[in-house]
Amino acid sequence: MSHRSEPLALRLSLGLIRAFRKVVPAVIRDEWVREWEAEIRHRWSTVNQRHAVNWRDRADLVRRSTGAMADAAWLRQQFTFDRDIMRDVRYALRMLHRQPALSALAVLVLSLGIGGTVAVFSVIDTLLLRDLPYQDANRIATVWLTNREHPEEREGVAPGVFLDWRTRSTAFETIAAEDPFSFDYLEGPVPTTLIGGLVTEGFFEALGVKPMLGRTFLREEHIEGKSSVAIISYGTWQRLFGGRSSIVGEKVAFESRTYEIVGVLPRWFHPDMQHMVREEEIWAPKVLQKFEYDNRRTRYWTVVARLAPGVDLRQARVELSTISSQLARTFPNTLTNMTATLVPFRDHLAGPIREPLRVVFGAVVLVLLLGCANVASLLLARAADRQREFALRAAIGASAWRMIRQTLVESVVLSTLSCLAGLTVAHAAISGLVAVGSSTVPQLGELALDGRLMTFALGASILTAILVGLWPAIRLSKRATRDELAQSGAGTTGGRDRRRFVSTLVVSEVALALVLLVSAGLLIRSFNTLASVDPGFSEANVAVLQVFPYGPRYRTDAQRQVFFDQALDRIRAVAGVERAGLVSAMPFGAANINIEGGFKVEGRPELPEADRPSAFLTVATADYFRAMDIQLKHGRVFNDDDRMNGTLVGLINDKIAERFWPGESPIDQRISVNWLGRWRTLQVVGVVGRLRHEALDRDARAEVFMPLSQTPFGSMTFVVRTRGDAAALIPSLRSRIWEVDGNLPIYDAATVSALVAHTLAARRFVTNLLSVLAGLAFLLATLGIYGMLVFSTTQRTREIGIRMAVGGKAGDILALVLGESARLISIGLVVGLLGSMAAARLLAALLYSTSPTDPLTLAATTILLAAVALLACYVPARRATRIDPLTALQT
Amino acid sequence: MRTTYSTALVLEALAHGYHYGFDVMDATNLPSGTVYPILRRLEREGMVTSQWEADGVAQNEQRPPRRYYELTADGRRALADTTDRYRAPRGARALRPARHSRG
Repeated sequence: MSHRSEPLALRLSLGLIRAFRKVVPAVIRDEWVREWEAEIRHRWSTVNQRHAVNWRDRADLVRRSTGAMADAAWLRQQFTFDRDIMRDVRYALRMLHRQPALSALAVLVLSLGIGGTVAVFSVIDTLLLRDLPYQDANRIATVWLTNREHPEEREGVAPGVFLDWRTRSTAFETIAAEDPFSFDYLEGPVPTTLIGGLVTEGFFEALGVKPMLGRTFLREEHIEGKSSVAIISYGTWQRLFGGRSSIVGEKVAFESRTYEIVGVLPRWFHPDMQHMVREEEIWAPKVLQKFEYDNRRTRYWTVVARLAPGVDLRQARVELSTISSQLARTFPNTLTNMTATLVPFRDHLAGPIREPLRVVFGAVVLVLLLGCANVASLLLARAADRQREFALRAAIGASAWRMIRQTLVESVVLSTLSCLAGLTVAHAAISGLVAVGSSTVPQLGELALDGRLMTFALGASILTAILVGLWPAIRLSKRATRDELAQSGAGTTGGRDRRRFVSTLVVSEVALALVLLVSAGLLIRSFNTLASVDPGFSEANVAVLQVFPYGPRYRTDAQRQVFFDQALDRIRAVAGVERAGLVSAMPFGAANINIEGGFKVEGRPELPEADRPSAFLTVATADYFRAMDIQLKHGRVFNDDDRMNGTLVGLINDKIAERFWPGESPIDQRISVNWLGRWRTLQVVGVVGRLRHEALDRDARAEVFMPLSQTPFGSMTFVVRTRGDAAALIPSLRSRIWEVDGNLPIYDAATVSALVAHTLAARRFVTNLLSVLAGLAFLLATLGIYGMLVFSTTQRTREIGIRMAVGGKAGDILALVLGESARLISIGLVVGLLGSMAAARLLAALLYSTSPTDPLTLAATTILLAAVALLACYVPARRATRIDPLTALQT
Repeated sequence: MRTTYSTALVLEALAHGYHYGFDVMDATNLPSGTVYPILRRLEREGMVTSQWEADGVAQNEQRPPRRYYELTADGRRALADTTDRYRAPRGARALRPARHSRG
């Protein structure tokens, strides 16, 4: 385009562009030149058209063309950066592709770590972090009556105590109680019992929930005669009423009484106040009865409170503690040592999973770290292959950053792939958690892989990439810029830095794996100890069905007795039934009827009121003891002679016997018990073994049994021992009961082993989860140690070759390599043991009669890990002894 | 995006109908060594697109086709943000109405 004839200024400008073009990256060079030339020529011609070109115009054109240098330089720099990153990515992908097995392993390891972390984080997020839908949820707390000596054993609250709290406390905006209650719904295909609660004023306000349809209760509805209104849960609305929106205002019969449905609660509302096997499904207003004001003994209400604005949990605790002390002084026989425990609502909801969750999260993070260590070692091994390349590049001026970047890009590529795989793992794990966990913690049903978790996963992967890549990267580049070029490629002695790095990795892998193994070991031991606790009965092949025969068809004790007799007769006639009895307080039962009453031994001096013993009072028939296989230690169980008009008799358990008649027989002794407010004297006819009721880790109670024939009672559970699988017989047992009364709901039908298992579910869950993680850690550590040793012996091929050339024997070499490994493994084990001690503090709360420093567990896991780790070293060590000195020295 | 005062001026010029590198320099009083890297960066970031002028127009004027720059929707948004930050920029006030129509 340029011609000699063109003016100097134009020629000069175009010349500058041509001079600068070399700077511009080749792919866009021609375009760049075209653009600049076009601008310059256009400018020249427009100026020419307008007026005679003067020196200013010329100078301006040249000045502008000079600026092209800045443009060219900018493009060059950008392009170089892009190209380098792209080259790093391509290089990383090529490296991954070249060693597919190793790469797959690295991705697998990281994806398990990332996926596991994400899944566990999702549980933590749902239970502990996410905003609860309850309004101002951090101001809500549940309140429990607890013994100052055993604050972890939360009991319900006696009505009178709740009323005292309500009157005396100022820390709460609202404090309300739920009185457990059940509603029999007979309109459906089979009679059903809805679990429910009668709630005092302000219950829903305390919980900060507004119904999705209708309203909550009015103040005047807590008055006798106005209280036939009810609010139902979302589930009940869907199940029983097909989700029709006209339900509000409808009148629904619950057995003999008709309630108007005034509200439907939102779907997320699961207060789980009673922490029972089943959740509440319906609520009605509580009308306070006169006797309830004075009942400070029977602890069966659950209480929820909303803190007043500006009051924190600690202040509320102090106030309730003070009130409790005052109450204990006024009512020493019932409330001595009793205090109130406030549980933040979030913790209440998370229930038994809360503590274990932290442990599991810790474990997952350890596995992730272990995964990182493994992958870091993998990258290091790879990078070592490129050491000469790095060194060369450093020598010709590549910056340290440039080399760090390349290694980092590789780890980013690796962790991005792992993140994708990890999300799949997380998805599977979360489905598993929902399936297993939601029966224990209702809220877990809401787990899902959402945007928050994706973000978390991404964060975890980036962090992983840095953890995995940065260390090897920095170490490599440091060495590369220093001395590596002076050494030969395979390394004479492997370089002190690299060996230190390998050592650190081996030590930390052993340590991390040991911490996890010890923790899992302790949990397994604790779980086995707990699961093998003798509950006092044999749980296999026993079915239980609970009924509450009250209402118009059961006005008298005689009517109820007829029902029980007929139902028992029919149940016993079912093929496969061995024994069938009745009991009021069924151990591990869904609705435990716990009646605690005062207890006196006749002929012994009366103790001061505060020390007066109490016992749990249970009504039963003789076959209950046989069906449950409860040990009869002395005397007899009930028999047909124990009639209403005969001598009142009772059985005591060995806990009472040991306390009051140590070393002598209590048979024919007389005791008095306070049965529902009235003292009655019983003649002891037998002693039975003690039973655990709430859970295997709770102590057995002092229990007195009275025969149903002498103690008419309605809330009873059929206890049926079967010859085969009890669960299979439940449907026919149900229908036998319904043959006698087709309108009687069966509150809960289950096998005893399922009931016991339910109390262990949370522990089993955590133990299994941690065992899987520990297994994974074990595998990772073994692979990691093996990989490291293979790497470091390969690096020392020359050295070993020299040793053998100067007469070293295979045994010496083996001892050398193994000895060094053993030293590293020992250090790892010591560090791991120290770590386990620290971790055990976290674990202590989860362990049942197992010491966090249980010597057997510590020894067994340490030996196991040491043995396997040494084995992992043996293979590469053996290989080292077969090195041919000639070949080794040639490389 | 990092929006410097110069970037704001370039955006402003593009919005006012200055579509070629040298014209943007005229409108903003910025040197070429500043304007071009800004245009490149804006294009990289999707604030600006560019294309070659139609051959016919250039041939009529007996010169090679020029490169035509245009704001994208993102660029207009970025401009709106920056106008808030740099109220009435000095250069923008001096902008003349565009003379060049798109080729």
